Amino acid sequence: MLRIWLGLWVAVCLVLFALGLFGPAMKIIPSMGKYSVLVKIIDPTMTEPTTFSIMSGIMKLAQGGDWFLAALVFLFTAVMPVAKLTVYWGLVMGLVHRGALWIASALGKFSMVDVLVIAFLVVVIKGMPGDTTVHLRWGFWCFCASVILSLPMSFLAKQLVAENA
Amino acid sequence: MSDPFPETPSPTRKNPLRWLGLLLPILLVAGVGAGFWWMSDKTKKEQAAALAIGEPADEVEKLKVGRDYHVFVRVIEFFPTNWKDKAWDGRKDAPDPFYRLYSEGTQIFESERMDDTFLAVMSPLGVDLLDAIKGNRVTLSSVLQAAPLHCRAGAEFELEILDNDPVSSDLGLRKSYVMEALHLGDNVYEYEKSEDVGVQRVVIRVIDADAPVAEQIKLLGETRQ
Repeated sequence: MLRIWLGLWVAVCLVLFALGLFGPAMKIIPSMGKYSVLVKIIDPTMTEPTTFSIMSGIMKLAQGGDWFLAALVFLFTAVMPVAKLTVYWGLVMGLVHRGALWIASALGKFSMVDVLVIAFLVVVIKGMPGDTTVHLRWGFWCFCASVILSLPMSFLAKQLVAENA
Repeated sequence: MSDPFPETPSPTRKNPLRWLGLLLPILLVAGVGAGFWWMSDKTKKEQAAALAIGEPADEVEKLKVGRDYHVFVRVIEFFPTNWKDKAWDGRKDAPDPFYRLYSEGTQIFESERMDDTFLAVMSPLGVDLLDAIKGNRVTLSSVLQAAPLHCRAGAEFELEILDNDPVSSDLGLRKSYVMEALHLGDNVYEYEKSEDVGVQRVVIRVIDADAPVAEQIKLLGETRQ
């Protein structure tokens, strides 16, 4: 029974994670204060709202030449969560040895780093001059839900392993 | 050594390809990513197709009675000589064009002066930098170099195009236009050289003063005629 529940849990986390990674995470509405009208006239595209997903943000970083930062964010927000969920999936399906649990636990320690990156980004943008605003979209909440839901997974997986030992 | 999961047989013993099940999470994430990419690509293509088609000609909207408009001259093209068939300026320079707009005989707008050109492409925008630096709010109406006009039934405005001279400005064109006969966007008028007509083409642009600012800015920046 625990195996089924954990399997469903992992599946829900995976779907939420995928939606969070590729869905719209934040909408930036640029504003240059009292000069907004002037900027709109000079270059209307500068004041157009931009919507980013976590993945498109990483790609923008890479396109802008910030390869190290892009790789770092990609590692923490895409690779590690997928690796962790894959290990749990493997445990549920009996595809990996229970010794793999420590890998998932180790990867789980970085679970909040991705959220921290986004939170930091939001704070940075909110602190920009000229009334520029950032709105969090559903992709961000899917991502957060995936991270938070995956927190008790380690405990459940340990119970599963103990039951089957 | 005992199997850690007795309910689940070891993949290596039963099915050597069972480890492929580990790819399912990665495939799921990649699949969702591919779905988003496909949707985004489709939207971009639809937007590009819509732009390629452009606005149909019947979308040209005549001015409506009771509404407010901004009127300005975007292009003035002069004949090589004035209507007296003489050089525009004494030193055989091209004219220094500017224009005035009148409503009911009263001047309501005068443009900036341009130097030595037969083809004057007037900017509808001008910023008082000193005013901006002093911290006053920059609004669309404060930078718009156009005459605000209210469209009444049968209302007309007069356009006077001049060649700026130190002593007396030479007349390039003086014409009246019925507001209801104009449409939003560029109104192109071509003239033959005759008495008091030294301008062969005028483009009068009209934008809806009640339209959202973003739309007004779009109309201001358009270069199509």
